[in-house]
Amino acid sequence: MRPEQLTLVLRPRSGMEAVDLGIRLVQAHARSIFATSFAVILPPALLIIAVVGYALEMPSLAGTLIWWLKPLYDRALLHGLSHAVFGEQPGVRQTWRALPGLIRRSALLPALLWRRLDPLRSTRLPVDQLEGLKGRVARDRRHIVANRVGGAGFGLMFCCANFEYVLLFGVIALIENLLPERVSILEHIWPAMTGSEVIDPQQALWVALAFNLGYACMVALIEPFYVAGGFTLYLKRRTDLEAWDVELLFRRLASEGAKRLAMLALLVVCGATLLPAPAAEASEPRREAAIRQAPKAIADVLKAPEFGKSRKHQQLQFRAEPETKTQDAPGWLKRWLEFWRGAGRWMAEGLRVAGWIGIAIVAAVLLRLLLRQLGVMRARRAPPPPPAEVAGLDIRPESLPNDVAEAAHQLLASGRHREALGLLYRGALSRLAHQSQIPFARGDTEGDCLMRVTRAGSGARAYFAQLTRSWQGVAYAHAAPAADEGERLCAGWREAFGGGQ
Amino acid sequence: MLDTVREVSTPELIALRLHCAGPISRALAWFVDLAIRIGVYLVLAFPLSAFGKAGTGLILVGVFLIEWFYPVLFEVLAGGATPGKRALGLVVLNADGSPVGWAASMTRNLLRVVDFLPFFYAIGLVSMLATRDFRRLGDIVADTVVTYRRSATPLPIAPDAPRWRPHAPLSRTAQRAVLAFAERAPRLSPERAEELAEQAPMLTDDARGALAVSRLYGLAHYLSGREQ
Repeated sequence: MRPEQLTLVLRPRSGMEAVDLGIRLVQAHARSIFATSFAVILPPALLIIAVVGYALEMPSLAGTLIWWLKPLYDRALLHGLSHAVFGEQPGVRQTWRALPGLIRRSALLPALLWRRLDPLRSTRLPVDQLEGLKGRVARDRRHIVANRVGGAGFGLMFCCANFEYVLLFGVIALIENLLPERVSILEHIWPAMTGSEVIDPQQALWVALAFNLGYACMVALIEPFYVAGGFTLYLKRRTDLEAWDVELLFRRLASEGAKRLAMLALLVVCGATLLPAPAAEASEPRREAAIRQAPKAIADVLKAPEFGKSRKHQQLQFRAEPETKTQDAPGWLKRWLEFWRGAGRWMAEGLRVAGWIGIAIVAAVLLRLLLRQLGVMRARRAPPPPPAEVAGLDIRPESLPNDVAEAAHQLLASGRHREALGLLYRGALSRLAHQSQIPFARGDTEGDCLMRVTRAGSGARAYFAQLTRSWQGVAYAHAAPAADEGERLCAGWREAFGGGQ
Repeated sequence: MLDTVREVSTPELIALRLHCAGPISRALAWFVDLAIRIGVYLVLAFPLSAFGKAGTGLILVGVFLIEWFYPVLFEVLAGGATPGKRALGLVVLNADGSPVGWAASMTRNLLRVVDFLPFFYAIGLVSMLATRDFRRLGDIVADTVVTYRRSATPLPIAPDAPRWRPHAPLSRTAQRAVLAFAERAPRLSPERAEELAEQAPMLTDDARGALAVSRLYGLAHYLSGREQ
């Protein structure tokens, strides 16, 4: 194997991450891998269903056989995957053509017999199939490869076995949900699966065969992930044991050095002397020699006592005792089971209560909105107290002199028109707010105030309009009112709002 | 080049590598969480079942609250991981690598209802198997990813070695290669370590065998500041 040609990133990974890389590998080559998987799994499965399931009428045996032959499919899938990691994609036809050779070379018989129940099957498979080892050597090698990744490998097997059924029942549930009312496939499948009720045997057979076919399809969908996960676990172990990633880094370093040397050589114009060839080549003959001597060296190593030592192991074990009595389940356990059996009913009850609470909340919200719309709520509320200040003017009654008109008159007499009109205007606002209950807001402008007074239909509206105009003239245009206008406004104030307090 | 890493960069242009977790480890974490929840229900139901219908009601409320808020509370308040995820070394992050907040966690857990359809997370499983970062629909909508807290187990420190320094400044690749070698070589067979070390003659002055290995160790100690 040439690590430098792998299309996978080599780095130290945890076992779980290696399994995830397998899923990425399948994703990246989904088309060719699933084509291979369906092409390899469906023909034998259909044959088994036809012969064992239909002709011999043993559908459950057919299902078991489809499951039992998984190591056979694994070999074809690993063939595709092991090419995929190098960026090649063998076609379906090529894989079929390669299959007889794979079966002969990769110890299929033991895999189908005593190694069938090995949970780390797909992690150990590359040793047989890709390394082509035989006998005891292969056994030791399989042991080393599966070492330290047992947890991840077992998790992979456990999850993939469950995923097959999750998808199969998922498809059944999906069809069931999409069928119109009163048509159900579940009512056919359920008795056929449990065998509890007697239904038409011919129909039960067809249901069981369809179930087998569905299972074969799910195997074709999930098995690639299982094989790829095992294969990447194998690659992780090889990377850990042989530090492929470090080797790649050193090679890159050597080629970088060589490139730099080549650049230098181009720059050297003296020409006569060529720089020495890259140093990396020096190690090649040594490598060749080592490879030539490898078989002998390996045989020597395997002669060492560490390999193949037999060891006697004694252990005390309880003898299996015959079961004497079957104890009745205690009362609380029975009550318990009853209790859990009602789970569906509770859930329905809970949802109903939640539904009623939801309806009550919605009804309350609607009622509140309706009341607000009709003004019922507003009528009950007392009007808010007038603000202390409108348009920057203090309108609290206590801030005004006792006789506003008289005070304004004196100010006018002393020539302070601005203060006089200001006082009149402030007083008018204060009276309108506190006595006529006109709802001024803090941010109202003079125009807004006049509009509110108009809308409220106050009797003082005409006077207030005149006062506002004069006040605006003084405040913003600095236009002093005519002498008699000031007097008229003071008199008008007394008429509109009364003298004194 | 295939890998399971999601690369994101922060606004300060710091590249982060998130190691996305696939359906296998997430399914196992889910199983652990399921076992914990069932245990809690049993503990809850024992005393409450004595109160008849009222107890049943309380159990129902408890089941409702735990089913919906167990993942959310743990993900937001306990560092992005339910106990099951913690056991498997997983953590939920926003897609940009920041910790998940209430909104994202609520979204991804409310959408479990969709992922659960039509049978035991069949849609979620298909989505995880088909998407690049192994995300189920809830993850896609909430823009979150489930990642590994730590990618691989920490590696041993290289054994002591005589002092050895480079003749010229080392490139970044060279530094990485030397440090990677020093981390990995103690676990390799000595022959493989020597074979590897001999592939870097430019760093060891064409040393051979054990001398090459010890020179690379010395260089690694020099680079990592552990030189005596």
